[in-house]
Amino acid sequence: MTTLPRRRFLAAAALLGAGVLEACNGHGPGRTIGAALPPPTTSTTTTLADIPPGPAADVLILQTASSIEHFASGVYTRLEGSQLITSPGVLDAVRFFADHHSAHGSLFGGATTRSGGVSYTLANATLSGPVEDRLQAMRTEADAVALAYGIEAVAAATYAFTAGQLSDPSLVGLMAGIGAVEGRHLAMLGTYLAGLSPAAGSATPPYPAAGFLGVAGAILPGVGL
Amino acid sequence: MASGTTTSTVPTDTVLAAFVQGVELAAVALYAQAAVVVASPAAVSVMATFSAHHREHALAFAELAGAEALKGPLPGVLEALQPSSLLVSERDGLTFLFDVESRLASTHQYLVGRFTTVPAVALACTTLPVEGQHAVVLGTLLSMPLGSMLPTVQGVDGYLSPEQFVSP
Repeated sequence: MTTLPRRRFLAAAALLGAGVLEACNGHGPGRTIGAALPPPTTSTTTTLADIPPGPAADVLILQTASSIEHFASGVYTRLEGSQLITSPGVLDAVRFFADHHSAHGSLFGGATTRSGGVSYTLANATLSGPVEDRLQAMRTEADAVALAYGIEAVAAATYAFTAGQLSDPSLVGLMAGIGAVEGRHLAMLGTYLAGLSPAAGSATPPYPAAGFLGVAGAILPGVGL
Repeated sequence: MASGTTTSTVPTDTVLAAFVQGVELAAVALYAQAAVVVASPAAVSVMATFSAHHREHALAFAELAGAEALKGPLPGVLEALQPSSLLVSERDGLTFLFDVESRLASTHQYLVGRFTTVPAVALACTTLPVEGQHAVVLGTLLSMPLGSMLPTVQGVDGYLSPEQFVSP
């Protein structure tokens, strides 16, 4: 079971937002790598601050994760059909990642049901709005890959942050394990965009320069549902 | 999978953090070991960066471990991660390091659900993805197929457990 100090911290984190975790992880300010999407708003009907730690909060976290996966899966499908991606290796990766996100959505949906909630099957609304303009403005393969990179960065940051907010320890591994794979997607896309050894300050590196994934771009639970 | 005797006591987060510190320091030593067969500029550059990452990871987990922090790599872990055959080519070296990174990622995945305090979970969750990213970059240098570098979900194959390597 989760210890009391952790639960107390989580309640505070829910009230204060992602910055709390960043400040407490001992690694300074946020270092989310290349999150190109606009920062999310917190204007939603239900957030984690409205719910005490426990199964209901876990459900909200899982539903938010599902919404990100459905969003990502949909965008990848659009990218695949955009005709902009012509390099065979990139096209293979896009298809591969689309399948992953679809599977991740199913995994989060199943976990939501097992936690007593209703599986969330829609794309995250907060992320979907701004990305439409990006999709319309894409002109090159690099544009498409950069968009995918931004989505993976948000997903990886969100799961790294919210894994620590889950009350059910058995869900922590699921969230962290899927987040780790989004990190691998980032590495692959970052390699296409910036190379294996990116220049200092690159906006789309395959790995964070300092060696730790940043969580500053995380979507807070409940946002966009 | 890891095997070995288990203890009856549940390790505290500081003990687990010290174990991870020892694993990360072992990784630093293994990168130095593999460096003797790697010469291409791209691989040398990547290896220097990743070795530095592991040093940073070790420092961060040592901070979390406090008084339990180790003075160096865990000898048992260093032995367990040794290559199964002599490294004679750059490909051997990179393949070996890919396996090391894969086992480190599995170890973090195994441990992330065992930590009980927020700082420990947070640190594990920001370290684990980077080990996987190292594996992807090394796999890319080796021209590995996507499926070999990118599991659907991070697993725990080949994980290292503290019960196997740390005396109670």
